[in-house]
Amino acid sequence: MNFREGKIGKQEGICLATIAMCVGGLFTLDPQFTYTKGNASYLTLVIAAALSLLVFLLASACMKRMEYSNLSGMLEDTCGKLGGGVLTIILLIGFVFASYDPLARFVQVMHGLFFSGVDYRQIILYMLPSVIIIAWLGFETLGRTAKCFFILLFSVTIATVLAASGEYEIYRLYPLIGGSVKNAARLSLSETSAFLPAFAALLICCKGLNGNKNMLSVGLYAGIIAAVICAVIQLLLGMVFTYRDLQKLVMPLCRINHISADEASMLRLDKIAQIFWMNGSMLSGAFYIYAGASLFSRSFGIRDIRPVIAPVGMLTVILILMEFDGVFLQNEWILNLWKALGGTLFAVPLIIPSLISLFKRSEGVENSYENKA
Amino acid sequence: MRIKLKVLILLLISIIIPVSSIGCLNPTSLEKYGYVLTIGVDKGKEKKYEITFELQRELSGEEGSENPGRVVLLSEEGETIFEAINIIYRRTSFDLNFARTHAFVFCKELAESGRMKDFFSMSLDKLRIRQSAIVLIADGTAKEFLGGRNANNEANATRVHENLLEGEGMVGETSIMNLGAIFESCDGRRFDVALTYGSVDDKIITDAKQKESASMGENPVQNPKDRVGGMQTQMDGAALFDGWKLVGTLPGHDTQILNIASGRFKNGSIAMDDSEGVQYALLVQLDEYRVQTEMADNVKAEIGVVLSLTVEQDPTGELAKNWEDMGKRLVEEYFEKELNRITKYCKKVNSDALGIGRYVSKKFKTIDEWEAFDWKKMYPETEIKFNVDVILSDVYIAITRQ
Repeated sequence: MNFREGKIGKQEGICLATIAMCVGGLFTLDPQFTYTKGNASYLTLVIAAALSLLVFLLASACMKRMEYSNLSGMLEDTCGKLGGGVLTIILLIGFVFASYDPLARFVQVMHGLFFSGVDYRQIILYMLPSVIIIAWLGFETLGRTAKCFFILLFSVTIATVLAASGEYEIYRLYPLIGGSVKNAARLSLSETSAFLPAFAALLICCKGLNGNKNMLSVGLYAGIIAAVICAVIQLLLGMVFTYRDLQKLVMPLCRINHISADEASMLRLDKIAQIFWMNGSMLSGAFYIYAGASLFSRSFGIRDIRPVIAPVGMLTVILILMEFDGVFLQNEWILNLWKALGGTLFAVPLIIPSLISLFKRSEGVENSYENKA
Repeated sequence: MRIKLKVLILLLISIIIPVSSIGCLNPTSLEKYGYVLTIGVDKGKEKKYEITFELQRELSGEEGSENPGRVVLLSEEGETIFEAINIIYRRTSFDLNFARTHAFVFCKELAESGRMKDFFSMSLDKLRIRQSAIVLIADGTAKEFLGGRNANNEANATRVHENLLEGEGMVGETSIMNLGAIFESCDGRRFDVALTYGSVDDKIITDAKQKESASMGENPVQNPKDRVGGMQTQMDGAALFDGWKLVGTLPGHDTQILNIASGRFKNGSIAMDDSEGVQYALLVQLDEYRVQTEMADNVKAEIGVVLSLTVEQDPTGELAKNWEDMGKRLVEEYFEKELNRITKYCKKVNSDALGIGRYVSKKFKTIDEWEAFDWKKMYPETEIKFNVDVILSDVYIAITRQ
């Protein structure tokens, strides 16, 4: 068996999951969808993180009770081979979309702010092979790289928001919750797509995190840290741009230093920050590709993950190419469905087997593909 | 062992040298680009716009010159900025680069017609222009303005821009706002912008002209009526907008009062006239600014300002001496009267340059309620009251000759 999982510690796991969640919460929100009825993202993201955490806690508690060593074991044991396979496919589709989303946004921003004369395909050619290679190298490489990058990403983000300190105005946040409670609830549910993929990926890589106990604390810490970071950054963005401005900006964090009339050098370092954030999105994309491939391999009894990573990676590439070839512009419903129900794509395959497992008696054995094999 | 080490070093060198020399394979000279600092926009004669580009060009052989900010102007007509760029490209040996563009200058006529909106429908990202670029309004044409600004060849273009930015905080006679503020104001309608308003006086004898005359043994000041020194442009105050439309202008002193009323003022020397025509010079600093709004049949706003001041010049010698009995009341009444005068003018031209809408919007619970309210329609009926409190911050300097 070659799942390229290895073992990583808590810190590596927290860094990896936090980066993936922050990339989701800060760079993948659809501006039109999120800010049309005002800006409440700094609240809705916290609610979304809390909801996602609840789903994760439920799934991990059920896995612990039944002593499943990873998610694929729980899916197969609770839903049978066919049901588990269907849920695996649903999760795989979710992972491909979760991987595509930040990468496509960064390709778009790199094209818009850096290389307007360069074709999208050329930018994709630079970014995506690296993503697939990192995913190919496995979970341990992902975790250790994330630990190296986390401090850098965090520092760069802090420096960026501090550089814009002269531009923050409270009045831009008003009216405070934007639209209505109903709208805030709708946004919270849709924004679970920023957090649930990372939680699901942790459940899949449970063994690589040294078991259920470590995975639980990794998920808990990562969820809380990511929710705080996302909420603070969204609050600061709301104090720099009004909801009307935000509706028109893809990745407003990349433009937070574009509006100060001061000629300070710190304000000109935004391109460096953007490169770091892009690396974060690549890491997050690779994490989801790996998680999807790992789940698929285990569920369908493929002993080597490498032949699965390549097609999963290619599916991500195809989605990105479809976006820039205008396929999604002609078929907007695909992306709208992902924006509105992306979280559900992960929540349902996690909640259903968890609930079924509650009615099962603990067998006291590790249920996983590896153990059965 | 030694041989192995040598082989390793040779290998490293053979890798490092080609890698570090990659830049030499495809060198790009700075001369390939003309860096556009300012874009001037006028009404075109045959096409929609006449666009003037103010470029910073380092000419070859001038690297060590004392004049690093050498500036050239290029102008062309076009239906869009992109058309003008294409035409200019035909007659220059370099590419226009907008990564350093820090200002737009619009002629007054264009700003009054509201066509700035049409102009800014362009993609700023396509040209790499940031929303931090400030916008100025020129009395006359933007081309004349940029020409006048560069008539003094001694001036470094970057310093001129920095000076303009610093001027708002140090003097308060201008109102610096950038594209970000304009988009926010016109989209969100919580306030209106007041942009810097400048003019040209081509009779000003510039520093360069003085040098030239002096080197020829002539008196640089041929006509005593002419003004002497600096550039041929000056910042005269603020241009008030109602959305995208220029609706009025304010001179320097009135801009200072507007900046106090909107809370943007930091400090500056303000001339105060009393009822008997005595003129005082006061160095004023805005210490505190707060706005309270109330929603009834119409909107009521109460603006409280605390100003601390130093008396720079007092012909009577009584202002600071009798501060508590007479001076404080005199100054407070003066500022209240001036603030009310400027507010009345802003309401008359329907320009919320004070930004009251920013505070009114806080009273609404949902976006739908706020958008249905239509603040700009309510603005002329708004009751705005000022409470001014002044503090004499430097008594010693006011009562001595120091």
